[in-house]
Amino acid sequence: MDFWSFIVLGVISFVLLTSASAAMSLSNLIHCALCLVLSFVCIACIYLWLGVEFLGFVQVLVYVGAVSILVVFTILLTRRGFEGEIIDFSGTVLLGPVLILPVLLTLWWAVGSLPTPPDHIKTPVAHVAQIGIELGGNESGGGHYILPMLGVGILLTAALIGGASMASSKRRKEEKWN
Amino acid sequence: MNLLTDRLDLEKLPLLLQQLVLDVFSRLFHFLPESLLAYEPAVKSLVSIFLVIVPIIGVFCTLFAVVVMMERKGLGRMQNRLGPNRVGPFGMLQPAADGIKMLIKEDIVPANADHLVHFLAPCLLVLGSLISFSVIPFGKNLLPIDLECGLVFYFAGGAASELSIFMAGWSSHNKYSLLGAMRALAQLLSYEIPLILSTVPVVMLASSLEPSRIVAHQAGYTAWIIPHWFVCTPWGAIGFLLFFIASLAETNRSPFDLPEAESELIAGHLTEYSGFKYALFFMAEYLAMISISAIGITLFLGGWHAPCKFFEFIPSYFWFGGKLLFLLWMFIWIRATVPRLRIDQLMAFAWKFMIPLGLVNILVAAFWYKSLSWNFEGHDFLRWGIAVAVLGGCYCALARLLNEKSTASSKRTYRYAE
Repeated sequence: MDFWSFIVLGVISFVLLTSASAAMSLSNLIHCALCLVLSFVCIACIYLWLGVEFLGFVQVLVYVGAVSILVVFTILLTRRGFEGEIIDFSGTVLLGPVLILPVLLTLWWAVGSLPTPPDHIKTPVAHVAQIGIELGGNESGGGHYILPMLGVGILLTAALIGGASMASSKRRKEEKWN
Repeated sequence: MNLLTDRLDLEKLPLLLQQLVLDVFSRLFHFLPESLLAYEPAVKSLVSIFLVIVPIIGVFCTLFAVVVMMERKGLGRMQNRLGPNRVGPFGMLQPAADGIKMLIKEDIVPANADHLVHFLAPCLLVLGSLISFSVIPFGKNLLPIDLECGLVFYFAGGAASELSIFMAGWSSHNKYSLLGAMRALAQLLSYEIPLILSTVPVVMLASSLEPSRIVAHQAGYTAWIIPHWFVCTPWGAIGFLLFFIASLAETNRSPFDLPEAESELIAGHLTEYSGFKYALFFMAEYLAMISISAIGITLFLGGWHAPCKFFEFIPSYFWFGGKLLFLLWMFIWIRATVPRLRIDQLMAFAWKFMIPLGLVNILVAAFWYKSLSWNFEGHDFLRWGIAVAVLGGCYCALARLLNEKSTASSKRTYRYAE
């Protein structure tokens, strides 16, 4: 890892941690949501830094494009006003460090117990086509994950059709109500 | 000197220009002290990055002005009036006058507004619109970045627009802005699904997410005059139709311009914006329109390929530009022709018509892909027949269903007003 690459990772990590802590501690919920979006973007940047473009762009597409909108919609639809409220700190906040410590220790142990890769092994370059072949397979092989892929595909399509049918059934309910 | 006479050189003109600028910079280094020579590669790479960014900003911001002019003049003609005709010859300098007006206008921010978010929203929107241009192949030798998953990058860039509209609506501290932003978000999210569903068949058939490979897949002609563009297949035609309608909604264009419906919501999320911030929103909307047309051309209309073999002598970027202007003209034409939809009609159209049709279109594309290996006599007719029958039947059934539902509740009930 060269010097500039290290600096870039440092900056991304700093922004990520700062925005994530801001998302937890700001009093205005919308500001929290926007900080959360910034941390999602930083995670995408880390993926890009690692050279996994596809994952980085999908992270932006799904988390910044969809999940964040879901979060802000939920905040706006469930609160009467959109003014910020001060969230009181309770005594349970002290439990945080106590819980974090074992998690960090476990992570430290897990990372430390990994075998160090020899220097001559390069990071594998995963092309999108290779990922696709590995997941879905083609004439020459692959397709080890075809069943889970199909399962996820059917689940998502069912959710989409369900959404469309809910949209039409809501109308009937409203008509009855009227 | 061969530059003007040789067709190939005209095609390579962008590359030559790039080389020329880089050469000028490397010659400049000869005049500098030797201690600075170490920085030459860094400066060269910086210059080549600028050579990508500057033309994109320059060309598309100019095109923005041209499209605004085209729209105002075109709408004027369609509505039997002259359109702008005071500033410059034939009113051609009207965009410049508009720009100056916007620049020198006072920037008003509501006292209770969230100033930082209010400022960031238009910047983020313009950034999202501009960044999408970087993966579109504008010509044979005109591709800013050749990304392997360029299509995902394009749609990821679009994610910024949703967020910035919400930021604009919420930070203005105005109920019309907030309501307008929420309506806009509901619309954008609903139409993003058919937009992406309509591109899935293209990715399936081209077996790639790379725009340049998708364009390369559409090369070639049947009998010299019928291009192998994806729009010339049944699934491609329906896909392009879905894509075009969804892109009208994604860019808040008429007949889906509800987010800025002046008569209902004042101006939606733009209510509290004035001056240059408003101009940025306006520009971002047009840039999004241009970029979505460009990606539509790349996916369905053969990218920079000529429509028939005889016209291949014209450089590829001219073809791309021509197709782009044609699609932009379609946007303007539709604005002058179709009335605005109601919000429930808009949502019903996305969820009950476009999404089911998009899903069926993916199935038809899968059938098309599998039937590519057919080689018995008349296989082409059978393939076309099955695909057209399935898509046509589905189109008619969905249209009937949508129509029945809307006529069943034709007596509109008003809950809050009589």
